[in-house]
Amino acid sequence: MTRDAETHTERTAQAAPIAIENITKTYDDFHALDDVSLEIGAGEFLTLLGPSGSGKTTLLMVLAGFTRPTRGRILVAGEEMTGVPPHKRDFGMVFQNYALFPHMSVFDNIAYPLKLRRHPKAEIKREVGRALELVHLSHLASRRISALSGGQKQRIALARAIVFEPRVLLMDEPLSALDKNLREQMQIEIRALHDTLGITTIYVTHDQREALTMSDRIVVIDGGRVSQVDTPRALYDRPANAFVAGFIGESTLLPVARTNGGYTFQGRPLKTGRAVRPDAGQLVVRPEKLVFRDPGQEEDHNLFEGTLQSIVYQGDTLLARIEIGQGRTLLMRKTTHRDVLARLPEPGGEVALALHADDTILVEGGTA
Amino acid sequence: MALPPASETQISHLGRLWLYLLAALVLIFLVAPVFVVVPMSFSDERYLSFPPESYGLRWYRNYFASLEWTQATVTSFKVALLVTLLATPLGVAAAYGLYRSTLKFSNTVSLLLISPLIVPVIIIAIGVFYLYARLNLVNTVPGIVLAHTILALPFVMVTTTSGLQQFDDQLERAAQSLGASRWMAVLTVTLPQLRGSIVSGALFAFITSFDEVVISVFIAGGENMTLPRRMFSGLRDQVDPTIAAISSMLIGLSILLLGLAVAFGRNSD
Repeated sequence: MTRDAETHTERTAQAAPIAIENITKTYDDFHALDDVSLEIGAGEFLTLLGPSGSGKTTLLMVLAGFTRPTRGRILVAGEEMTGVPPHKRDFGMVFQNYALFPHMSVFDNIAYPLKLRRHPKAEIKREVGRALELVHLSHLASRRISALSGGQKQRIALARAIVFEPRVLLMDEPLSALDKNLREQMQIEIRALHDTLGITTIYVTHDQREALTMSDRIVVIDGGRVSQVDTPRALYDRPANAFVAGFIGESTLLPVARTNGGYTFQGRPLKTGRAVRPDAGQLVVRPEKLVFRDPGQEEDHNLFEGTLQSIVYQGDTLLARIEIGQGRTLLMRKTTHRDVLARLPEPGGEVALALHADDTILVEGGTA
Repeated sequence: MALPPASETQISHLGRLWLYLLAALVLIFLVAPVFVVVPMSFSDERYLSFPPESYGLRWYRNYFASLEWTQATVTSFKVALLVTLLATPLGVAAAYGLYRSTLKFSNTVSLLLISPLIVPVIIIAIGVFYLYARLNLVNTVPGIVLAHTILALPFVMVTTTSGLQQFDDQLERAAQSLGASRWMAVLTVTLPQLRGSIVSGALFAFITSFDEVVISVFIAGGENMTLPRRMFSGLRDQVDPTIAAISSMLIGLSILLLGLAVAFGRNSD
């Protein structure tokens, strides 16, 4: 709820907070959702992020009213919603495959929810016009659905989901069918639209970058349970566990040993910038947080030495693989700036690296 | 100089000549009986013969002048129309319900409803005759309509189900999320999407009833004799060339209905 605090509109008053209380959904003895509780603020952009089969879509379907939870409650603005059928919830929804009605024109698709609500004709025309303007497609009102491109379809689906001023907007992987450039452009557009409308939005995706780009907060779901709820920044910088560390961003996991009063890696005591969980057992190294060692870094950096094994050139960045003994490998990501390239030895050469204490993340588990 | 290849498979038209000939033969064999009837119907002779020695509209005149034939035609149209009006909504509802159903016995119900397609019609006819005799439905329009609906229902179900399989279930959910009740969503989104399948199912239902003979022989006699039953009787007593005239007109009607079905199929895309 950081970004939308500044951008306010006439519609913010309508946005509703949502409380998800102990939602459990079981199919025979499979727990699709296991005791999920969340508080979603009015006007917040919340993303449900997880691998396929994690339960994120099931949770969205429970919110939409298409799936009845085995246990638990959904409250919207304090009002119980658990047993309310989908059409009485007043939630807008955008589906993965657009779900536009092919037998209706663009205009009729967007007018559909308004006609059901028996709005007068002139008003429908005005409201559809405004929704089309919001998604920059005013010129397409009379088009057939089959004559639209993927990106246009997604915008029309979005216009249809917001035209009736719903209290909540649900989005189920709406961009997964689009190619990368268009997807990135739409991420920004959807977020901007959210900021304009101030509508409580719950967004499902399996794309971590998309989640980081768009969200106020991200809920990482794994195996039907909430793994971590945090802002994008906190989630990336301070993953609460190995799953989150591995799922969001790149990371190398290395086993650490416990000594009295601290942790060591390969015999060296580890400096950490913050309190460490008591069951820590693995060090998380983000490839882009590693730097070439400079003098005077011993104070607040953890140090590594190794042999450069290989460099993969990926255009804007390169990925270096560094063998640090005992069969362990570190990945380091650098921009392809000429200064970086100049400092990089040939494969086979020795490199000295440093990782700032604040970027040193310890999570549970491991074998050492 | 070789002909250019017929397709990406690089086989020339000449290399495929045998296939074209075979296909042509099969097509001729399929439609030849139908088109033998047409010239025969324009015969001016007293008996059916092919090819006819003189031509005229004698048997067409005979058909339109005969109260027996025209009455049977009216009955057939009436019955077929009622069957269509009964079987189409029932079949669509059954197909939709069974398609959505998660009940264990829905497959059994489905099989039961489709069974008239598999069970020999003569067996249904005998059963229907003895049952309807007790219910006083033999030789009545409601009786014929009910019996024909049994036969027509599977066709509507099969076409509707195949339509549903192509239908994107998300559309119905989208409609519900936009404020439509389940009923409303089906009415405004699902059914319009299935229009092509439903119309072709309805046409099938119409034709099924319109040219049904076996059951009609048992329960469509007397005042409410249907056209196919009348034709069947006409063939048994003496070979009446009027039948060739009627057949030709029925061929015309079939082509028309088929054309309609195709046109509707195209529209629904």
